[in-house]
Amino acid sequence: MMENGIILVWQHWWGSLIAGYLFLGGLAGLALPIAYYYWIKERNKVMSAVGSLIAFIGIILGLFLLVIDLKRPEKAYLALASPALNWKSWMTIGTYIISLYTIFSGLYALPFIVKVPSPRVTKYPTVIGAIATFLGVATAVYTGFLLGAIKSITFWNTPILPVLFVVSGLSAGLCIYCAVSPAVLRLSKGFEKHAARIRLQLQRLDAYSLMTELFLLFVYLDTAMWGDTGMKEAAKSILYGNLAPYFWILVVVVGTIIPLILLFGYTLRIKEESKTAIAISVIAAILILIGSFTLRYVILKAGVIQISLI
Amino acid sequence: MTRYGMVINLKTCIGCGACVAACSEENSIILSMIKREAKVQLGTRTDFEVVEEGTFPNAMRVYYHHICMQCERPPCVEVCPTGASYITKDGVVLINYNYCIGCRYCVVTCPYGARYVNKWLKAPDKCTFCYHRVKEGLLPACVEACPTHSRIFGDLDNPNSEVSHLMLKAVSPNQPKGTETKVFIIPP
Repeated sequence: MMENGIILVWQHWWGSLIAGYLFLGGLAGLALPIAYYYWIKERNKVMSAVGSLIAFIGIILGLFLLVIDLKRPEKAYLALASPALNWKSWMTIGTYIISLYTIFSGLYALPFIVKVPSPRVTKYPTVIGAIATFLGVATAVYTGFLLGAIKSITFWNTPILPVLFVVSGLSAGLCIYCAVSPAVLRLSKGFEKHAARIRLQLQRLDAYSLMTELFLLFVYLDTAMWGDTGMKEAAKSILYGNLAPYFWILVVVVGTIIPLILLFGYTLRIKEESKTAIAISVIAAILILIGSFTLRYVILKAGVIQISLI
Repeated sequence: MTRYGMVINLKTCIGCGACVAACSEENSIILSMIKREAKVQLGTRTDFEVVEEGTFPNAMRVYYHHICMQCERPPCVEVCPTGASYITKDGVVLINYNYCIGCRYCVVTCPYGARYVNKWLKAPDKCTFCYHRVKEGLLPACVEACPTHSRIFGDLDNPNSEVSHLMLKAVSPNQPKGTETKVFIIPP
């Protein structure tokens, strides 16, 4: 496409696999810090187990998507062990962060799943959890920086993108928690009484993070509309171009507005734990996850390189 | 120090496509890979874009060239995680396929759209200034094939070379991006 002496090339090399990887990176990255919060605050083993397992499974799934997206997956080990490793690349830094995070989220999950007969069992999760929390937040932030470091695509090269991805990762991490943890807490001995309180806490935070995400998305697209040609074209395609159906239906309505209605209209009003509350939480979680994934996909697909011919 | 560079003279380019054909032949890229309707999304190491500029009576056809700009500070090398993309001492950006994992970070990052994913290599491919020929004292295939001497290749640091003289008349398409290209273009 030619416009004002600039050729626009739509980014078509990275698709839904990378979108899935970015989505899982954000989700898994922020699931463990929430679990760690409940460990530090109230020594809640069930919440820690749930959170670290979500993180561990999510990050392994994300890594799997990343590897199968490579054109030469058999050489994937070079990203960690290439003789000419480039530490200036965000992909190298990110690969190390994610690999370490996989190890540490697994280590953190270990004592909650397997019964370790050790007197230092409370010290171990505190230390490992602190490291894993740091790595988890770094993972979520890195998914934004991975795109932000690409100078050719001005739509991605903005400081707001990592923030948006972190908030979106937080809402996704929280919602999957809200779906899983009340059920698990109800089944766990001695933790039943916490179920409703924790669900309400998480869902309130989830609702706020969804609203923040919507606001950030508005700021992001609005500034893009006033940016250079590449940014403008990207924002146009999202707002009323070929990506508009994905954006308006899946990201805004399904991923944000309906879950907000469900959260504020129903689940946040119920102070007691019931099967309906859990069912609605699960539905809201699925919708938020769909929206969160589609957000990554839309932003990836809207990337446009502007090539000035002279 | 040798610093290889190229000047493309759009004043004399007639858009015959000999450079594209010669490149494809030299580097064994099959020409049928070029999709004319999507030619900007390069399927070749070099290509050109036909643009009609101006209105009658001052209208003209311009052939804008696509080629790796061989940046002094190449974004593709900066982002490559495994160090597969590298810059040689004489300033040519090359790919070491032993290290390439095919993540396409470099393809997305190139501000000039100069890289494409080669289906057979299962990796990105780009113009190498025909490094294998240049090392033997030959000219790049496209430069040798050009009938109107519109592509001029040589050592930018050699004050007696044609390319270093023409460079002063030419523009670098990339000033705002700060990549400092070594391919210069004489505007039409």
